[in-house]
Amino acid sequence: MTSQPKEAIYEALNPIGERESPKYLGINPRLDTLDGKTIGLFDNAKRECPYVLGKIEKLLQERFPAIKISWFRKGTYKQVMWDAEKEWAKNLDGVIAMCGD
Amino acid sequence: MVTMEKQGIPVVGIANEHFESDWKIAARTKGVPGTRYVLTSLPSNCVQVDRCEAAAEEEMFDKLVEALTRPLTEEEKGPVLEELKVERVACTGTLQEVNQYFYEREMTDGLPIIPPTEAAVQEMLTGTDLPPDYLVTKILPEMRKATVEKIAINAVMAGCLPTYMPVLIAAAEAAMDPDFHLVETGVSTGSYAPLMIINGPIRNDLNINYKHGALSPGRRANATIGRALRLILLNTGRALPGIQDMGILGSPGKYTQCVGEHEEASPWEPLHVQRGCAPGSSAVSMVPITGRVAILGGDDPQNTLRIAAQAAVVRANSDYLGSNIVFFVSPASCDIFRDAKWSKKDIQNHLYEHARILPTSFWGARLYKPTGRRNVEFFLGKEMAQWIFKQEGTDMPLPIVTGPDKFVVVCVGGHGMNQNAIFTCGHGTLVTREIKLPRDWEALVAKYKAREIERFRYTAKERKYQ
Repeated sequence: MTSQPKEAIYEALNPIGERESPKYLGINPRLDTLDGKTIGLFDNAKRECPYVLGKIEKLLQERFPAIKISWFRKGTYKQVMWDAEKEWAKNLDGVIAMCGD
Repeated sequence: MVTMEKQGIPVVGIANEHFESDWKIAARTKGVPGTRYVLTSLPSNCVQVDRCEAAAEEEMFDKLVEALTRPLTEEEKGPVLEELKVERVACTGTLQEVNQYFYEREMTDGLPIIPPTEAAVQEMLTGTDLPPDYLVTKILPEMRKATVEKIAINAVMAGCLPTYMPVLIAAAEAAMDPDFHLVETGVSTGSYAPLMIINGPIRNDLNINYKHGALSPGRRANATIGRALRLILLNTGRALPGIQDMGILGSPGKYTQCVGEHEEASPWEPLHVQRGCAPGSSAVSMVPITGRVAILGGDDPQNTLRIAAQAAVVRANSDYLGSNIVFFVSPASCDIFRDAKWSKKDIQNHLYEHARILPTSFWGARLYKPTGRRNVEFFLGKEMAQWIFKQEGTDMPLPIVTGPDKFVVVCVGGHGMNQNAIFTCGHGTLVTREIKLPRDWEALVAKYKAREIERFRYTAKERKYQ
C-alpha cells in the first residue's frame, strides 16, 4: 500500500497595501437653529441634485423664514474644485451636500 | 464635503441607501469618520421631478435639519485613533486553505490564485531593479501603498512571470495619472475597466498576443498582466465591488483586458510613439472602457469608417464628452487604408466629421437639464456649449467627442477581412507610460521566454493530445 504524499503548506505574503494610520478628526459642533443662518446647498452635478436640493431649499425657507441659502454647483461630478468649494464655504454656517450616489 | 467639515463647518450629506458602506469608508479614509449623512431610497441619477421632490420632503428634510442641529455625541467629538497594521504574512496553509483565506477576505478576483510565497515573490522581484520597498504610487480610493513588493505579490497571485514586472509598474503609475481619473473609473456606477495596449519590442519579449484572438484567453501575458493590474488595484485601492466599486452592471473587462498593437501590420506610427515615447521604446497605454461594438464590413476607407462612425455613435448614450473612442483596426483593414494612403489623422478627422448625432438624440441622451448642460459647458467651454444649445429643435448633426484626436486608432488582430471594433470609454482618458526595463533584461527574457509555448510552431503531428 502506498502512502499519499503530504500536501504542501504555503506561507502566503499579504497583497494588501499598507497605508498611513489616519489622524481622525471629530465633526464640528452643530447649530442651535437654522433660522437666521446661512446654509449652503452643495450640488455635485448628479442629475437628481437640482430637484432634490431645490425642494429642500423651499422647505427650509418655509420653516426658517430668516434663513439665507447659498448654492454651489459643480460643472460635472468629475470636476475637482476643492479651492472653489473652500472659498464658497468659508462664510457659511452649515452645509447640506448632495453627492448623488 | 469632508473638506468642508475639516474647514470648520458643520455638514450633512445625502447618500443613496445602497451606498452607505461606500459613504462610511470614504469618510473614514478622508479622516472624518463621523461625518453625518441622511440616506435616501431615491435611485442615483433619477430625473423624475415629482419623485425627487417627494423623497426630499418625505425622506430627507426633517433628518437633514436634525443632523445639522442635534448636539454631538462624545464619540463624534473625538473619534478613537485607529492603528492600521498590515501583517507581512497573510496566512499559512494548503493550496486550498490559502485560496479560501484570500477569497474570504476579498483579495482575489474570484478565480484561484497562486500562493505568493516568499520564494515566489523574491523570484518575481528579479524582474525589476527597483527595491521592494520603493513606492510606485498610492492607489485610490483608500490610497494604500503600491510598493514594488506589493505589486510583485499580486503579480505572483495572478500567475505572472518576473518579466511582466516592468509592465505592471508602469501600469500602476498610469492608473493613478489624473487623466485616467481612477477616482471615478475605479468606483463608478458606470463599470469602467482598463483596456491595456502594449507597444514596442516588449510585446515580442513577453509573447503578448496582438494577432488572432488578441482579446481572447490563451496567452499567459495577456491573461495575467491584465489580471495582475486588477489585483493590484483591488488590494491597494480596496475598491471592493458593491462597497466602494459601485458599478451597477460590472464588467468582464475587469478580469483582464490587455493586448499589444500589431505594429508589424500597421501602416502608421505606433500608438506610444504618437503619444511622445521614443521609437524603439516600449510602453503601456490605458483607457477606461465601458464596452465594445464589433464592426463587420467595409471594403474601402469610406465604407469602413461609415460603419465605425455608426458604432461610435452608440457612445452618445453616455454624457462623457471628454473621453476617447478607441478604434481597433485589423491588419486587413489597415491594408485598405494603406493602399488609399490614409493617415491616422485622416481617419480621426473622418470619424469626427461623421460620427454625429441629431440634436433630438443628443438632448435625450446627454442634456439632462440642467446638470447635463453644465457637463457640456465643462467639457466644451461656454462658447461651443452655447452653439450646441442653440441647435435644440434643429436637425444640425452634433459631434460626440470634443475633437478628432479623441479617436484612438490602433492596429490589432490577425489577418482576415471585415473585423474591426469600437470601444466606448467614459470619465477618464487615454494615458501612456514608458516601460522601464531592468539592466539584465535580455538575460531575463532568455530565461523566461523559453518557458512559453511556441504554439504557432506546432505541426499537426506534434499535437499529441488533440
